[in-house]
Amino acid sequence: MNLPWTIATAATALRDGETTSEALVSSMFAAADTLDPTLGVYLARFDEQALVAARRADAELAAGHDRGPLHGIPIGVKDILSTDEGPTTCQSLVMDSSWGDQGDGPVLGRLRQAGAVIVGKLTTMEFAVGRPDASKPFPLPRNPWNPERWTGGSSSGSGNGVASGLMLGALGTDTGGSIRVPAAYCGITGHKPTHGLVPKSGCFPLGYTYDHLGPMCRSAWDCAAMLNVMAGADPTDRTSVPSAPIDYIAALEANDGSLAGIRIGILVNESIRSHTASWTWQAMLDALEVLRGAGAQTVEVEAPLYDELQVATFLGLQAEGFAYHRNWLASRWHDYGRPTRLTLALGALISGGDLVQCERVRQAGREQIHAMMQREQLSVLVSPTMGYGATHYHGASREAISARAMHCPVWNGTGFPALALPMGLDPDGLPLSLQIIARPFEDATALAVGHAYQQRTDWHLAKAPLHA
Amino acid sequence: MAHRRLALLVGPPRLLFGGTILPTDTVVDVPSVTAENLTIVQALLDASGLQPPPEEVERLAELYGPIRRQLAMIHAADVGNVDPSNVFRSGDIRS
Repeated sequence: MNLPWTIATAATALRDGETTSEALVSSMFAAADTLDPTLGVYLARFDEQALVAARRADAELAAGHDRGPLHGIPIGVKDILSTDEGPTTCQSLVMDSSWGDQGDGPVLGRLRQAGAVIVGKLTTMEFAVGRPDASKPFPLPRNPWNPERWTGGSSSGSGNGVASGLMLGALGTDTGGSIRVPAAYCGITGHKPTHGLVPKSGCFPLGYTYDHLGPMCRSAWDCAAMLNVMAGADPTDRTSVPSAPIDYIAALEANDGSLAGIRIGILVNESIRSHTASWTWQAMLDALEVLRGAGAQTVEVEAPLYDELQVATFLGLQAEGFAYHRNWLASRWHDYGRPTRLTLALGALISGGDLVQCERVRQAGREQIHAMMQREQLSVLVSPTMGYGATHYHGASREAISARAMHCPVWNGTGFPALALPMGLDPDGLPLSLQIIARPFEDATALAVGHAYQQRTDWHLAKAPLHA
Repeated sequence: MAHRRLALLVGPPRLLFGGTILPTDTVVDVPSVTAENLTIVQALLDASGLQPPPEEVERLAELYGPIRRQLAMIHAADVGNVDPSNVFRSGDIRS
């Protein structure tokens, strides 16, 4: 059977009677039996529960009860999110497994209400901050484009699971780029929503004020379908913001792919350009040509306080992470993976005054970038998501693995929404990614620009060599 | 007692920051370690009740040099009279 590639095509196939949710889920589990030992997508599979949910979804559709685009769609969940099926490991030996006893958070509950079929818990890095660690009893996530390359992280299994066709969508989390980096490396589309748009309850914290939950799928349309369900305040997360519901699918389809009236700011800060490969920059220029062809205008701009925001975000999230882990680090130092404990312990080296200054930089940067977008009448900003394609596990170039080649963290520090989507391949045949950043709570604009691009290109449909 | 050195990393890759790895077999310029940084780092770890082995204290002291430079950068940033208190309260960043 040819499995559908996207949520959109699967939703059509389900309603046309070309497939069933049960057949879809069964086929993807069968593919995982073959591919997962190499790719390291799953930490736990929920075969039995998922098939029950799939049969229920099929029965409801047959009875005319249609819950919308996610009805019967297989969705995976990063294993720092609590689910009814449990357990939650955070891919760590330190984690108290009873933390996951709280069951579904509001986002998981909403996805189930929308008919999504939760297929299992997916690999990450330890507490979303470590790295692939062969010394621990967990799978090593590998890239379906080349298993000698890393998936990126920390939503590693969400990235390679969707890219290899073992599920049609996944929940990821993003504190410094952890949705967008694996989306970029694995050649899929991932969206970090505006901070406060999607409630975080049920997510194990890394950096309280930097954490975001978001969708990872093949396309911007699929991300919009998931965001339709995920967005909206919940009383269990007081940082989530009450606002009128937005139909993100309707918003991206509203102008029939036209970008007339959309003005795009190309970020040309020296620190972005100097940490981006020439082929990545050229791929972005090619993508901009496509967007201009759709009616957009472009202008080069520099984001104010960009370098300071990059630094403040890393320092701040280390301090926040340390606050959570301090007591465990004191009592269970050696149970953490070495990179995890060293990174978290860096938070002990940052003073209270330093942290407040990080917050001042965030606030000033947020205000100044917003003002710049208003002054230049910019709908969105763009940059490469990563300066380079997926890194080798061993022997990668220094430039490619530099934290400066990540063009993501600033948007965690400011909370602006940021969409990552495929825009080409590097000389080694690995995916390259475009990042589209919108003003706060204008996620629909970023998704609409991404959708317009994907209507004119097919990079988001490129098939990795290791694929179901 | 400042010193710099080139090292060939063997064994597991090292982490720079959340989500970014420094893989094995990569020749890197290891940041300098000063006696001052080593003393400060040891004191701060002690104050938090952390007891890493000496080689990991030294690694944190290596990383502390770049962190001090980063902290100097953010304290030198022109942020005017910005009040950051709403960062801690509400997720609403529209205003």
